[in-house]
Amino acid sequence: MAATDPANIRAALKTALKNGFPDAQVTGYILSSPRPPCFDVDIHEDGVNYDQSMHRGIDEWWFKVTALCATGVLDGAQKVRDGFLKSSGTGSVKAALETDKTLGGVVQNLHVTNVVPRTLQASDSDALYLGAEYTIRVFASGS
Amino acid sequence: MGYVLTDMSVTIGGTTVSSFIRSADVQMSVEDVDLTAMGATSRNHGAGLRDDRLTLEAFSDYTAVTGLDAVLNPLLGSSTGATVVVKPTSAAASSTNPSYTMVGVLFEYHPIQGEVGAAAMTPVTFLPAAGSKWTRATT
Repeated sequence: MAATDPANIRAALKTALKNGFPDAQVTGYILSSPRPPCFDVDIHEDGVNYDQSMHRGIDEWWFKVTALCATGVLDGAQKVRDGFLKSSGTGSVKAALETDKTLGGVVQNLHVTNVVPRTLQASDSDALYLGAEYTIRVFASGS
Repeated sequence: MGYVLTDMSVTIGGTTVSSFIRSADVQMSVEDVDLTAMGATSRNHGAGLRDDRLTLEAFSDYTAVTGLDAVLNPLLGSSTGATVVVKPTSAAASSTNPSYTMVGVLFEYHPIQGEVGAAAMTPVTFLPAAGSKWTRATT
């Protein structure tokens, strides 16, 4: 297996999210002009733990996907977020990301470990977005 | 001089499995035979028989042919064992990268083990086949 390129993981996460949420805005990176429902994809603060096995066998990557469910924080937005937070089935972000735990062979294994609710403010306005931040643990080849 | 262990080389029966290995322990030991006689004021330790072993902790992998499970499973309990070679790095054996080789019998193997949410790990123990022990080489 070739060395892991985070760009390939981002692209694969984007594909998984697009497959689960065809109408959502997702580029595989942080969106400059988000239009909910949409997903930011970025490296998690826990970063990368290299050399989990010998001979560059396995690195541990941490990604985060931030879902912006809807504009505002009213009931409708909360219902959209509740749907995202489901642990399985259609509408579940975890299920969409874990449909193929190898992301088409890009990684060895993927696990959506947890999600926390977020209320985010737009950078260019006073608009509030109801969202959720998912943490994703990835084992990928190091060489 | 100390160094950080990231590139240890482990081959089992000619198949390199290094990339699955999280930790390895090449243990060379000699039995402590008590030769203390009456009147002695301290223990007399005799060097007995060699009693070596190799213990590994590896990431579980079920890939056909080249995966760890495919390599190890046929070896379990085989009295003839397999040649296992361990080096500090993947470079050729040398005076600064000695190889340790023995014919090992797979005595303990946990192909499925773990807890929910944790990486699936496989503990492995090889003991020497009859007459074998770790042999150090620098070429």
